Amino acid sequence: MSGVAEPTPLASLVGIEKSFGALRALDGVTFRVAAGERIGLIGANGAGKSTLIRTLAGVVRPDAGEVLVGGEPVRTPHDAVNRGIAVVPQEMQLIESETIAHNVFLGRLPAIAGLVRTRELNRRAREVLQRAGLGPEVDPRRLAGSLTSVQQRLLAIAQALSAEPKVLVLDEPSAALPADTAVILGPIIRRLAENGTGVVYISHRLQEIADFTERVVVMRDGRVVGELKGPERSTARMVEMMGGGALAEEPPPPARQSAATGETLRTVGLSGPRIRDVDLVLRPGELVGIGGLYGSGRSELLRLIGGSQRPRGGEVIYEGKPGPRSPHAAAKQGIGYVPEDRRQMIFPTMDVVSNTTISVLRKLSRGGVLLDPARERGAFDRMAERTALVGRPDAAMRTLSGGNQQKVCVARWLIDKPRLLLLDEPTVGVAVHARAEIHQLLRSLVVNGTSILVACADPEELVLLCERVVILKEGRISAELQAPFDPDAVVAASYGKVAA
Amino acid sequence: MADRGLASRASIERAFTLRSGWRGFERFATIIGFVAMFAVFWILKPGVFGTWESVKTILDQAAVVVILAVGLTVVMTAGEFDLSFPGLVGLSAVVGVKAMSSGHADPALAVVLALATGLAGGLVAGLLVATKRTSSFITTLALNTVWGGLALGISGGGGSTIVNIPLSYTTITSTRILGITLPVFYALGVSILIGLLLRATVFGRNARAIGENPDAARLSGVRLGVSRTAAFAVMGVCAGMAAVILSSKTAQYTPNIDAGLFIPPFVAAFFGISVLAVGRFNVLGTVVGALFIGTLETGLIVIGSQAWVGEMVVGAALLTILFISAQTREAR
Repeated sequence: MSGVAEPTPLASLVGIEKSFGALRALDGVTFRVAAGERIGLIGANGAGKSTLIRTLAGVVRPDAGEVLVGGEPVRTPHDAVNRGIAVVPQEMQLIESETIAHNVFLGRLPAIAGLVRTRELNRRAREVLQRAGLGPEVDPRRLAGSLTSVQQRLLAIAQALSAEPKVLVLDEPSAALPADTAVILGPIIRRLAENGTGVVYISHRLQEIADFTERVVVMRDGRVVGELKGPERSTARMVEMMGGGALAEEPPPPARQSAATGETLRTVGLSGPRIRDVDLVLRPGELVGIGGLYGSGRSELLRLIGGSQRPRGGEVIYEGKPGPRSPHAAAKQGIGYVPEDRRQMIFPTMDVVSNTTISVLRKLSRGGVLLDPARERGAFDRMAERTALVGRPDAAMRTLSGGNQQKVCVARWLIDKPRLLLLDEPTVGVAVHARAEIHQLLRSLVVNGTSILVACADPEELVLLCERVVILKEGRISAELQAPFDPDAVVAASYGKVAA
Repeated sequence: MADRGLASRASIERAFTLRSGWRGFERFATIIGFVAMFAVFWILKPGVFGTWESVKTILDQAAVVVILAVGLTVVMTAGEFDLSFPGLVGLSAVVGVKAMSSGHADPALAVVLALATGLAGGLVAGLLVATKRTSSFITTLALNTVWGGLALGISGGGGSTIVNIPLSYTTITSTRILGITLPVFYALGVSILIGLLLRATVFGRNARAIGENPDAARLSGVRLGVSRTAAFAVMGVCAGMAAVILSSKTAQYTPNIDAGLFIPPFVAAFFGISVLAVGRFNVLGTVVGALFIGTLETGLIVIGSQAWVGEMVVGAALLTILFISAQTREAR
């Protein structure tokens, strides 16, 4: 046996099949991770990446096939954790009001008789943080909420590393990060691999895949359709294999029309949780971005405007009248809000049509009382076409891919022509082509006179989408950028430097 | 730390292995249980059980539980609990009966008063839960005692039985159509109405959305308070109907009119989750569940078991069905 031949895999999934109802999520997938390997896992939305990872983590039980870690079968999440599988989920599970050290060892604090050994905890946390790329400048005794978005991402990795995993899966770790800060993940991953950890990196950003990993597994329609090694790993090749053909390049932002007259929204000295003294004006048909670092108050600002949170001071003026005091009032006035976390917006076991029509159900009913399935279906079909939604109308919402769930959440507000849309990270965790489709949809809405506010952490997306960007810093507007601007200007403004 | 993990891992694995053997058959577990139970009673009392006469008795006995259980299904679909209905049944009953005995009210008026009392009690529960956002479990538990106390007070301090009721009041339940007593038709009517309410109305859809994800429902513009209050109001009216049927059947009000009413509706509602394998509360399943518990209770009496056996069996049935319905919900 020579040492350089196929190494024994740490984890292997063989012939995995899994269906959710009629949806065939995995169709005979074989996937192996060896010690010290860096594997990129790519595929369009709904290709089966998430299901594959959830199978490895013991969360999804395959209909057929075998999951072996260290030669032993994995049947439960408990098995997976005990045998050294750690997954850093797309949506971080950090407790911002707890210290960094507590977050690192969440659920497995070193303790004697129920008392946490703080000194020991902080010492070990420092060591783990170091491995996750958070150097000595990060004090584990500080609160997790005080970290920047990049640092929080790394903290989530530290959380996973504290279990001393043999295989580490990173699910879209860079999704909420600006591209230029995501590069720091590369060396961290390399170092982990050098120490024998098998790393699986999932991302829609193909350049990162090419830079950070050495073997790329491409999935499509629940199957592994190919593998790229060494110099084959060009992004063009990846795109080709993922889409089985052409992936639409996103068109450049259209030429801006001259400033519209009138005012859809005005905030005067608006203050609330994390938001201080914000003055903002939005005109009909304007698409304005809200940028800023993690925790700068982007999401909170949208919530205050949408009436789901009460302001502590100042006021929201919508179409010349006081703004909505509840989401119900907002919906009635033609304001739609889609939060960052899709779980706050979907009804997982209800069908896709019900999920789409929930906000305007009364208007689609007979006399506001009896449901009218035909009209609901009609409205859904129109929205599905408009948003390029892929999903059976009667399928349970949870069986849809992230991108399609997002489309449903937006479509909900489009049935009744909206006058103001408040979108928080509308394309987080959404595949490249679905992202382009969502962008296209927003542009077409703006042309029809809808005003849109988009809160977004990704400077590139802001550049692609917005004619004007307002940057928040610690709850206040610190800068305002007019197109044309570049991502660097957004980043610079976010950190409080004066844009050139 | 690894050592401590071992014991629990083994136990968790055992639990999961057990569950995997359980799968497939669990969808029909409750129905199989129903059939098996019927078979056992039939074998034990072949002359009595299984006759058309006994079926009619079971239906008549189960009517009250059916009505309460489908009302409860509405509340639970909206993600809330109601533990106040036994007290509310007592209160509604004493209001109606007292109106006839002391106020010489017409039986029709007494029925209206009882239903109105149920509606009012449901609205109070709903408004408290909806506006104060207290746990409906605790709020309605407290209300149950409030209603119970109020009922005792109205009946005459120490809780006396009221018997001087017009005979015509009893015809509300004793009249038969095709040999079947009226309460069976009431229960059928209520079940159909509430079934439609949940499936075919805006309210029903919103209630389900709230039960599934209240945050999402709120952010989608659904008024949680309105729907929640309405759900409790429906339950209240059901409690009022149950009160009328019970007091009419016995031609009296007794302080323990709500005896034995507490658990069976819950058994029925949870039973419903696993029937039809839909994995959520549904009216048809609940009705089947109510008939199950009715058959069980009647069957135990027919084979001559003592009262304590019945109580224990009903409690055990709830535990078993909670277990099965939890499995169904996980597997869906």
